[in-house]
Amino acid sequence: MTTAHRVVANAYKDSVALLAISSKLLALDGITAASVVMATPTNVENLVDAGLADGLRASPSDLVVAVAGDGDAACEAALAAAGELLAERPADDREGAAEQPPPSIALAAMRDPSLNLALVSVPGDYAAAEALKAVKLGMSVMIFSDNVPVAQELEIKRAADERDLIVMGPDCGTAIVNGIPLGFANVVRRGPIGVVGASGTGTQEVTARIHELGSGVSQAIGTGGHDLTEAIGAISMLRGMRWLEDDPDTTVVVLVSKPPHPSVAARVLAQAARMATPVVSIFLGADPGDAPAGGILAAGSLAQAADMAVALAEGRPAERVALDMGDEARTRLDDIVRGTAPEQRFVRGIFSGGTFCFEAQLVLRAGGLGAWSNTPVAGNSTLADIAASEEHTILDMGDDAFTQGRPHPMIDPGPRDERLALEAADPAVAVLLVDVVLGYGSTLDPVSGLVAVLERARSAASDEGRRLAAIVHVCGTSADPQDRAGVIARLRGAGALVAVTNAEAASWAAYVATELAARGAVA
Amino acid sequence: MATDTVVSRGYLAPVDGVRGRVRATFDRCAYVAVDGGPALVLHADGRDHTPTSLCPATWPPASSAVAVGDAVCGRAGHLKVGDLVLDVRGARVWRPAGSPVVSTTTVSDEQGIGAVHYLALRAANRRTGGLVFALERALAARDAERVTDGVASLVGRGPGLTPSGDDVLVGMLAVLHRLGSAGGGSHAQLLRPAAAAHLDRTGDISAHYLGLAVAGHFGERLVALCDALSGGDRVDVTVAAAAVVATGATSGTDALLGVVSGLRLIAATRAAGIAA
Repeated sequence: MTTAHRVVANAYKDSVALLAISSKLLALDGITAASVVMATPTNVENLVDAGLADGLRASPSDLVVAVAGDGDAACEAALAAAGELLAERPADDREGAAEQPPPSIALAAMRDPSLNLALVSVPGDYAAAEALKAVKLGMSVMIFSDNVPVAQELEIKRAADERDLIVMGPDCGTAIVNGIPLGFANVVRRGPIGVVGASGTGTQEVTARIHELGSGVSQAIGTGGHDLTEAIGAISMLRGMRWLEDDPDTTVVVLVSKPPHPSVAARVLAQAARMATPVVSIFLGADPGDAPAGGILAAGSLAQAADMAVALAEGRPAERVALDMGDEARTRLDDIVRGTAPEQRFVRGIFSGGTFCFEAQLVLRAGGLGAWSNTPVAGNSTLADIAASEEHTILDMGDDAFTQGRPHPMIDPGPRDERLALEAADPAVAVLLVDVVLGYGSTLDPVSGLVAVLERARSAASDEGRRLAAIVHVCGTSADPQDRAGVIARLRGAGALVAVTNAEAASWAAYVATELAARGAVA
Repeated sequence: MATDTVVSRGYLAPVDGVRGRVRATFDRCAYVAVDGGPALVLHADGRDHTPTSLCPATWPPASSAVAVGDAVCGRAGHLKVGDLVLDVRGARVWRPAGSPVVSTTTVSDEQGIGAVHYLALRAANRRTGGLVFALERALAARDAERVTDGVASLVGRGPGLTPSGDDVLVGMLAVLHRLGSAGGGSHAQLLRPAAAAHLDRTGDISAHYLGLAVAGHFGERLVALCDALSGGDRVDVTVAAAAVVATGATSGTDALLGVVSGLRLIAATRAAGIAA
């Protein structure tokens, strides 16, 4: 074995570079040992003891390169290579060098201290700890993860609130922050309307419609579905409302939620009543006796909340207008009713959006139609077997029962399409009610499978002397990446009736079911 | 002549009256050797201040603005570094809070840190070859001679611009100093003179940091870790330990090894106190 060393006087390289150079030298042909270290007395002693640097003389601020290898040539080549490597600029100084993503929130914060929002999407068991780290680093957090225990949610939200931060989530699927869509969100223009939503697809319906009505969204703040429970006390919604009131770009605020706990609703509405900014609320399924007062405007549907907010933003009166079916839709629906077989009576709603499922059940119930569901609203019944529909059935296929171990149907609509095919084959079914959710996060091709199912179902039903109504609501904007107009055209080409809002789609389904029930009663 | 504003600075960073030269430049920082005083460290603003940091608004500057050998002088709140003039007058001062008050139930998280950073600490152990344990035993036995030998064996040992042994000692001094009231104080008193006596056995940049540590001054990441340990919040400790580990190639884990060693000493001291 041959050894060689070289001293580079008063040379400094950072530790990362020194280790990298040592590794590169060790990888050279014929080199069996390599060390690039500061020439401190201890290091020199060690090199000498190892037989790598006989006669070495250096000061502690020098660098020493010591190698061992098979012959003088290999060692000299290694020392020459070391000289070149020591003269190089660090790799991350080179133009175009890619920066590695930070492996943790703490390291990201160190790399860029201006970061103020962390998005946590890890298994629920770990989400709380990651979120708490971010909060303690001064960041607000969006927790996409679900299955976070309520006690942990409360701890994170309290910690954030103490620091004037917000926690969006857990189980927060949608937000639009400073114009940037997070999670499942639509492409909407920026504008004067701020949204605080405890339901993901509910927020998507409101924000997308605001865009389609020509207005825009300042911020859409998600809170997660548990925020308005008694245990959490709307910590995030109250924080979001305060932020939007202080936001000079927000002139109208919309609150979106399934029914809050009464004491929490009272707290939220009390704060809303104190706000100088006008507030529109849509608490789906809330007891009418809890209707807000104090100038807060209560909408009857998600879409109506958007309509009222846009009216307010444009200086018009925000009227709660009853849903008008219109002659064209009524004519088409009557035509379908006339074509159905006597045994066709039921609606089968197969939803990707949990809030759409919820709202559809409410619309049907408002029409006197009870339904079965895996996520029933008050008064409806829980399906004994989620694989087997009964009578009117409205399913949320994004619920945990359907998504454990597989993607959400907004990402992979395959299971939704399979279930629709099953429902379409049921001779008692008259109406298929479906939502298609566009936007970031959702599949780029949400309808190819659906169109195929609808075409086959229509053909099979026709062969059997039946007529199926396929009613579809497309939630999204013309700016979304899925080409909303193209999606609607393909659905219509497959014979579907495409509604502008979820409430409208559900009302059409309710109309058909009611007409069929009346026909059956007369018969 | 380029100009910039210093947005933050360490609490010991001198400016007025400073004379020196740029000693070394790296992609993320530059060291200024100051005549008769501690070195200045120029780097970007963040959460990693050292006691003598100066953090300009833009760093690194244009490559021609600062080079090794450039003369440095400070006057009237301005520091001239080669062709770069830094206005330090409005800089925010990073200064650690006083040593934290440690509750009776919160110290000693060495097992938690050890579990999270097991592999990194094992690698750091290899770099120092068991010498840390020897020093730890000497401190526990309050054997000044063996402490001196243990420090001598570590100073200047191992890879890195700041050799591993130096980083271990800085970490150990940090936790013993910051958690002095919890039982680290007597060990720190024993360790400081031994380390001070061996500063000439390492490079001048590493000696700068070790010298500051002997005097009770530490960088922001280590201070944050020690303060998190005093609070006893596992999440705070995890965040702060991760930040320390991220320092340099080996410096962070070597320092963490020193912290863990110091925590073991404190835990043993507290246990002995309770037993007595």
